[in-house]
Amino acid sequence: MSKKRLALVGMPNTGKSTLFNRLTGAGAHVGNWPGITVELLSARLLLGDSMVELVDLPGLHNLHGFSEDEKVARHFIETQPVNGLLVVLNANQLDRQLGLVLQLKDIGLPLFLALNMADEAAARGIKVDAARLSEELDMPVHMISAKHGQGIAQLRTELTAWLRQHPAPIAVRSAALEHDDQLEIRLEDLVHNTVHVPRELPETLTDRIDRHLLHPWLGIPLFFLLVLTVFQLVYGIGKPMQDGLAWGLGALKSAWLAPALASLPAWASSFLLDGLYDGIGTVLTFLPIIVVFFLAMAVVEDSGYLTRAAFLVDSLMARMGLDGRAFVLQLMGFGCNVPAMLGTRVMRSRPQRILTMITIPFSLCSARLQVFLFFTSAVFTPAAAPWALFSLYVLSFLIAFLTAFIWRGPAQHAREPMVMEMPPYRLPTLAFLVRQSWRDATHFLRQAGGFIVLGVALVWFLTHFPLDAVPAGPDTLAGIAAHWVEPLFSPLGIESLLSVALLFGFVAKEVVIGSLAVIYGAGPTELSGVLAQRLDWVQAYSFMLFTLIYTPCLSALATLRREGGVGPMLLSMAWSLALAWTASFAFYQIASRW
Amino acid sequence: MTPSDLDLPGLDATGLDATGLTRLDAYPTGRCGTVVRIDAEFDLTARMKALGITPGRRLRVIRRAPFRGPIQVRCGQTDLILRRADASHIQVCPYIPPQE
Ligand SMILES: Nc1nc2c(ncn2[C@@H]2O[C@H](COP(=O)(O)OP(=O)(O)O)[C@@H](O)[C@H]2O)c(=O)[nH]1
Repeated sequence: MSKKRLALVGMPNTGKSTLFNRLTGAGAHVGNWPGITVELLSARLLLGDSMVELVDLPGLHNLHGFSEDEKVARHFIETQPVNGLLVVLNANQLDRQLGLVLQLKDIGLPLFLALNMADEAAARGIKVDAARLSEELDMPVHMISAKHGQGIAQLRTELTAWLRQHPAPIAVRSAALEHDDQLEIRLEDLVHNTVHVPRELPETLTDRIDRHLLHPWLGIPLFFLLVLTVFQLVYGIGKPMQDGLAWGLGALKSAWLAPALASLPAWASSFLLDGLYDGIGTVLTFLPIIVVFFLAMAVVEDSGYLTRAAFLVDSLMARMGLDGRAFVLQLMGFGCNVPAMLGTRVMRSRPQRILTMITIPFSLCSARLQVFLFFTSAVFTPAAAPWALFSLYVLSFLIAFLTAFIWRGPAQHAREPMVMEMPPYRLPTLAFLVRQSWRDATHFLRQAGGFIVLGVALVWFLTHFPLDAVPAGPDTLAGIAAHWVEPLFSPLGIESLLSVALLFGFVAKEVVIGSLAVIYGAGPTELSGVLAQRLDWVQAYSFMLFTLIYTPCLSALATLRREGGVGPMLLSMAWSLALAWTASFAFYQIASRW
Repeated sequence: MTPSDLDLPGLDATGLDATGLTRLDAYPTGRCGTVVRIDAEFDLTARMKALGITPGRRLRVIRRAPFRGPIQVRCGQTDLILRRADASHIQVCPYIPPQE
């Protein structure tokens, strides 16, 4: 059995990832490649009797590409030996996408062409003569729909046969690229001979929707309405599930766990119940809401609406040295900041990319959402809580804008072009959503299994050692640490024990709620009562402000360092800490005197 | 693909002088035009070409974003958004449909 390697190449949005998932199933892993700075997704795939490693390359418009993503794709093609390239094109747009194939043909690697989105092409009446195309290009050409699975079985068979003809990995022939003009003439001929587009294209559903959603005056209000609706939906579905889970965990503890552990020494049962169980349990109650939240994000992301959001707000963002894409990444950051930061790879200008990366950590991610959900529902009235939460989202944007405005410096003049495709509206398949939510849930649980357990255990230790002291009292380690930082936090109205939770929040915001449960010795159901008793709304809001603004988590910092360097990371850290302190201070000092 | 593949419902020739060039950012919304020249730097030109904007091709400005935001252009089967500053590098002349 021989080992072969195949790379997936194509323009952005042609369905490479969809095909990758369709072909390889769940076993994908992220790997490093020699000489390539970013990680690429790859997976093993059994074709006939050979094990093939399939690598998903970032989107590539042409071989002169100028964005980080394109450089990575090109560099991979130039340096890593492969048996061939599996080129994915959007069958609707062959009039322009075949140009990439002609360019790739010149570098001498075996090519296999998959014309994706056959379903959309059929719906629009676009016909492609695949046999003729295959003949003219001298390579296998195959129509598929990666999303719905049409033609995939056959694609596998043909890939297997094709790989047999190309048993050895080869490196590219570095011929000079053919002159573009010549290439264009060939492209025109090729399209003329093989693609038929109906004369009259009917107005599509996308056109009709866009007349409203991209309306010059209604577009932006509708955008906000849409965001609000999504959030309402998430809470409407997720909050009852969270409450139910909290109730269940509480009942389990009092009815079964507490009696079962009664024979253990007091400190041990305290560690297990008040430490691990309460801490982790409180974090776990957020699992349903997080999954619902990420599902909603997946639908929005896959729908193509985000490009439209970029279209609507680009000119406003331009005033802050950012662009429409930065805004979209900010929105994606609502899920998790880390992938949003990686998304800046589509930008070419480095100052602009760094500026965008510095603003993304202010995006209110799902981990911070947990903290805010808890605090708002504990301290505010049910009528006021959603508005308190909404105000934090608004602040998250305002702070990102302020940050961009202040640090825009060189990025302001490095305005890079923004030219991109606006895809038609699409709905994800159910299978896609199931896979997505499974991935998010396991990701969340892995985090919970990793440093949340560790963090919660550590918090228990700090708040219970020495063992004879009052738990979380001034004589415990946590009490002593809190005493030290008190001068810093008391002007913010953040009581000393809360500041201990903030210390742990530096590692990951998921730990904050868990450690509060441990600090106050309260389970998922009781914690809100305790918070309501101890904090007034001004103190609670000040705490939330600080949580919103200061460094999101270690992973975000690590990403910023890897993608941007040490300087931007330090800047982001110092700036966000200073800003968090100043904002909470100003808010508390003003609001508490009102 | 036929020469009129870009015809779209509601299309007509512009009233502009057929020899005059207009920058795409100033081209009237809803009118069909032919790309004559792209005066952008090399890599931007390459990106535009990859997205389907090349001399000789026809396109149509679908809409303009508010506050002098980007414009949406339809070129072949692809919808694009580009900033007005970037669109200003593209010279367009009015497309006059062949007489039938
Ligand atoms: N209608 C249709 N949509 C598809 C097909 N394959 C992918 N898509 C959609 O096209 C969009 C881009 O797909 P993705 O795999 O993310 O593209 P990538 O950027 O090339 O990796 C997503 O919304 C997919 O759901 C297909 O065969 N038919």
